[in-house]
Amino acid sequence: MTCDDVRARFSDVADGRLAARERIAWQAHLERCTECQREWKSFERTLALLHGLPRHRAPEGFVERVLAAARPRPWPRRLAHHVFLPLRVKLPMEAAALVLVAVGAVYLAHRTPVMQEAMRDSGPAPGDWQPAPAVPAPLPAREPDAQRAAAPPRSDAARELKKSVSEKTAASSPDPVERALTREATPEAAPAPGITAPSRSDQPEERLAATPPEGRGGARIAEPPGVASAPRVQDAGRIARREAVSRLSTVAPAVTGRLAVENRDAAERALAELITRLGATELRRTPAENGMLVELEVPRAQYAEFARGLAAIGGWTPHEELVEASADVRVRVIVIRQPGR
Amino acid sequence: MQEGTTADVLERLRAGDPRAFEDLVTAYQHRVFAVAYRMLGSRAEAEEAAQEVFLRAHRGLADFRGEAKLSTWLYAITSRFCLSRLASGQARFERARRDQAVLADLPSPDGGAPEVLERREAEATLHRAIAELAEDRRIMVVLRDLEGLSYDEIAESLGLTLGTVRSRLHRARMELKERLQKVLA
Repeated sequence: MTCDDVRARFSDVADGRLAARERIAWQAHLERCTECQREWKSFERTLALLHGLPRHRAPEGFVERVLAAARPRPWPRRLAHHVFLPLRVKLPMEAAALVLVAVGAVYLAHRTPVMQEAMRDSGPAPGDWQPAPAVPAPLPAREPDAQRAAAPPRSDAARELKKSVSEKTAASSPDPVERALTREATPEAAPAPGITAPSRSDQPEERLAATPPEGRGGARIAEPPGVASAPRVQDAGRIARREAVSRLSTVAPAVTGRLAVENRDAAERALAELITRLGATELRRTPAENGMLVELEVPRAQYAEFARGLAAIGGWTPHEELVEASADVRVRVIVIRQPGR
Repeated sequence: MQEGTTADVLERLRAGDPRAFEDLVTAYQHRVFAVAYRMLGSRAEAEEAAQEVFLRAHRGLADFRGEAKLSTWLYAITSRFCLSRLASGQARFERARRDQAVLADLPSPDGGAPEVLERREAEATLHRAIAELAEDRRIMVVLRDLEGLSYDEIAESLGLTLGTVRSRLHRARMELKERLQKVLA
């Protein structure tokens, strides 16, 4: 047995795991090797110290803490634990999910025309009324070239068409109210003097017009009193209006004209009757202090009758003639009150 | 706790006696805590680990078939939990903690007989040496030399062969001897 063999069996000897014959050979080597004797003594002393080390004791109250932790928790705490813990994992995940949902909602609201229109139509609740600035922002001077150059590039052909029609109408009209109404109906237009936002009005009649019973602008005219009580007709009217509204942001009106009236209330009633009689659909109504802008869709076959009806209500001056149209004709009527007409 | 008593505790635990678990924790708290403290190196970590060991034992009682001793089963849960914890990312700070624990074990310079001072110094060196062993060797020394488990019990607790236990234990002891020899020479 070599020195290495002897030292490799220190643990076996110490733990009594060496067979008797091996133990004799091991002992014989140790008796004649002083180096191995010194190593063995050092090994024995190490083991003696190890076995003599005091054992660490559990702290006071340990048993009570374990028993408390082992008790079943009430179900609300268990549920909260499963839902919210571990916080370092679930909290970031829940926050990320919340952000995703919010971003998705904003994206949908901006990408869906129906949602955009719904947001515009709903307007503020009566309690949310906010005063308009005492001095409305002045209408900027028309500088077509500079304005076009400053405007962001637009790829949507329909919106471009709509804008050009609006500009054409505004430019050709001598009436500042009409110009302002036309601009207001165009998203890119700036507010005009004396024209307040659709959601706000100082006149009771305008508030009534801006906030119809269903919270949708113009529905009061599309549904006359005699018909409004019939739910099925109301539903059909809403569906037709919703479909038409979905096309609103992408289709420019085929005809834009000015309707000069002496009595605005009477003109509104007559216009409502005309719309109902001809099966037209009101899309948007923008009230103002001295006038009102109404956009509607008239069945192609009824357009001539519609134009005659407008001429009967007041002085109807279309800015362009109807050249061609599909099933329905989009008409923008700018109603302007002219006392003593 | 005697094995006869252990069998009784087991029966009561399986019968749902709430006092039985308290008896179990009371009987084994120091052994479980001591192993956890030697392995993890901090009292706070050791207490947390020991508590988790008893909770796991409480939950896993139905799986305990009674073929091994209850103490061996508890040592097995403790050893594996500590080794797993050390192997995970949580073990990154263990060395610093162990160093602090070892410093706390150093002898205080309060005088006394030379042989007492020498023994305290040797114990402090040993504490430090144990803390600096690799985990797979440290657990051998802890279970065998500090807790007194047999080779078979260690092999069963850690799922190792007897040969592995024998060689790891011997290397660990020789490493401790070498470190101690430098101080005590």
